[in-house]
Amino acid sequence: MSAPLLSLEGVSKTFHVRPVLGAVRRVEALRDVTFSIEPGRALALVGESGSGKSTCGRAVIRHFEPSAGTIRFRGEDIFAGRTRRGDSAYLRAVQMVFQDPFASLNPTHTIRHHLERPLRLHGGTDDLEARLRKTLSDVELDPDTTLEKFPHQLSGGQRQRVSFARALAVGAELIVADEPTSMLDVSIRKSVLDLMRRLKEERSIAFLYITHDIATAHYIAEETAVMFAGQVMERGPSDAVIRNPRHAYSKLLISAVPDPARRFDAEADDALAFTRQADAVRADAARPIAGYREIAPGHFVAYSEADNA
Amino acid sequence: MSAAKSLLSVQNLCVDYLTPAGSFRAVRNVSLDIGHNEIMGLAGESGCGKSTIAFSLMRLHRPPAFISDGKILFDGEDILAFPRRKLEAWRWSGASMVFQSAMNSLNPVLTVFEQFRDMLARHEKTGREAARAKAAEMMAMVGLPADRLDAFPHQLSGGMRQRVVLAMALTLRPRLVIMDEPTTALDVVVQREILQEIVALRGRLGFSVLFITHDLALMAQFADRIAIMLEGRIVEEGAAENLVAFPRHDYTRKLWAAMPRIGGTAA
Ligand SMILES: Nc1ncnc2c1ncn2[C@@H]1O[C@H](COP(=O)(O)OP(=O)(O)OP(=O)(O)O)[C@@H](O)[C@H]1O
Ligand SMILES: Nc1ncnc2c1ncn2[C@@H]1O[C@H](COP(=O)(O)OP(=O)(O)OP(=O)(O)O)[C@@H](O)[C@H]1O
Ligand SMILES: [Mg+2]
Ligand SMILES: [Mg+2]
Repeated sequence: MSAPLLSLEGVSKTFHVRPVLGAVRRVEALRDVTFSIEPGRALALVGESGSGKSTCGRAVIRHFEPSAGTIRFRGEDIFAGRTRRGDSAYLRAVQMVFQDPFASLNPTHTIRHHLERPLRLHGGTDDLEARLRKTLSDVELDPDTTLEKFPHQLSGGQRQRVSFARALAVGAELIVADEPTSMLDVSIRKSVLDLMRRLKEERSIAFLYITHDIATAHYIAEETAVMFAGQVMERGPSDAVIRNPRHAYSKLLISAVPDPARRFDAEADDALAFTRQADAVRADAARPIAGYREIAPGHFVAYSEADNA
Repeated sequence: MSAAKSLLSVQNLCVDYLTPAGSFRAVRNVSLDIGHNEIMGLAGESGCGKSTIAFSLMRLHRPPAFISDGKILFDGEDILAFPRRKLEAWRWSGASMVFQSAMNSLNPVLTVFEQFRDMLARHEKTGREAARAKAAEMMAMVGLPADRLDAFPHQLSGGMRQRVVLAMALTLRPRLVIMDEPTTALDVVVQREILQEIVALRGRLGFSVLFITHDLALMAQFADRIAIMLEGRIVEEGAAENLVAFPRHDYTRKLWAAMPRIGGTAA
């Protein structure tokens, strides 16, 4: 096993929310999160919406400092002993593709502008035009019709591919991809996932892949971690976690993956039963985790104090 | 089905984008009927024109988009001929829309409650207390605690913002709700709970839905009928069961074959 490229060790993050009236409320967005990613490999973060997946990603790109715990890149604490040169190298090595392409593209700039700067930073001006075109083709956009367009002239899916191209343009070593394919249709989603796979295999780029699409987690990531309410419920080889989930929340999540053979309207009782079960599992899973059991090599399942008693 | 029987009847709709490079027809002769209380699914690859149709139906399309041909009848009335006042009153209460990437359609400087109150104030006389109660009720429907009403959008996760927008779209009891990828930011547990709730609400309150998504499996679970688009045209349309069991068009078959499945090799 090679040394991890990225590791999170007991990372916690608490937000303090000040309403106009009333007391400050604490949101524990991350609670004691631990995982690591090796070069050229992918870890998928799946789980409840609001469970802290994006918060993890944003801590990794140093959007903010964790309240507790350590994040290491190549073994070094990313918040300790920062130098300007080290900073810009880190910021180039770690790129983020956001959940929402509307938020990350500048409406007043053409696609050419969005890609030219990172390409120049990374590889100078040689063959700039050819590299521009290649980068767009890599994400299956037609350079002829796309280069001079503005973000609003592209469809949602086309826009998301541009943000992906931009992350590739700087030659990242780790890409934090926060739902990069959620707006792409299935026929294109696969080609983007294949692109990610190729980048992993051929250029050894690592991915922290955040998604609600569990089938794609299985397709792209060697490891999967399931999050709920700021904690990791289960973590291990994707195949084991997804095909044979062991934690009650992971089981619930995987049971809810859309199944075209099961209509919603034909099952009013079913709907009620599902909601009841979901509520019960969520209430249970919200309790603090006491520790993890390693049920198979590298496959960890959380337990709480109550489980032990 | 005759036009009068449908809540929404789109006839030969054409929408063009006028770009410096010339005009581009994004929607080509689309005809589509949505019945009362019907959930109509619209699927098709990225860029095929789904959102363009959605915006046009609400008359929310902006230049360089132009409706160059066709009719849009809502309960028999031509919405393309609505004067501005009537149009504004009709939006939210006649038909409402959950935008693609809805999570960024919230105003960043207002709390969630202030946005509910704005919307309510524009349509009916609602006191602060009543607005608060209504907003809390709608939040509960999408599984959010009432205390989140005091949050600003950036303090909520993507999925939470998406649920807020969904709740707002249903607040004024519109007869048609257009949902452009309403659940892509949600986990599958919450997604299922919300869509089941919408099915139940439709039964209780009665409204129609135009549901746009890339997730064909989800569409098959939720929609009564499905239309498949390719390059601005509808290439196949039918009852959801039939489109799942017997897709006729090559493109529909291709979409199904490309669908992610756990355990399969294709993603
Ligand atoms: N800036 C902030 N201030 C206060 N609370 C925040 C802030 N950012 C995130 N949170 C809270 O932290 C929690 C985790 O949010 P996060 O965005 O990480 O969730 P997520 O798992 O990415 O969800 P989704 O799948 O819906 O995108 C949520 O309860 C959210 O409201
Ligand atoms: N403002 C614009 N100017 C020029 N062309 C545009 C504009 N907006 C959209 N288009 C083009 O119109 C076509 C349809 O776009 P639309 O956003 O309706 O697609 P969509 O089916 O919703 O795609 P997605 O699934 O990716 O959201 C695309 O080819 C797009 O590039
Ligand atoms: Mg998120
Ligand atoms: Mg769209």
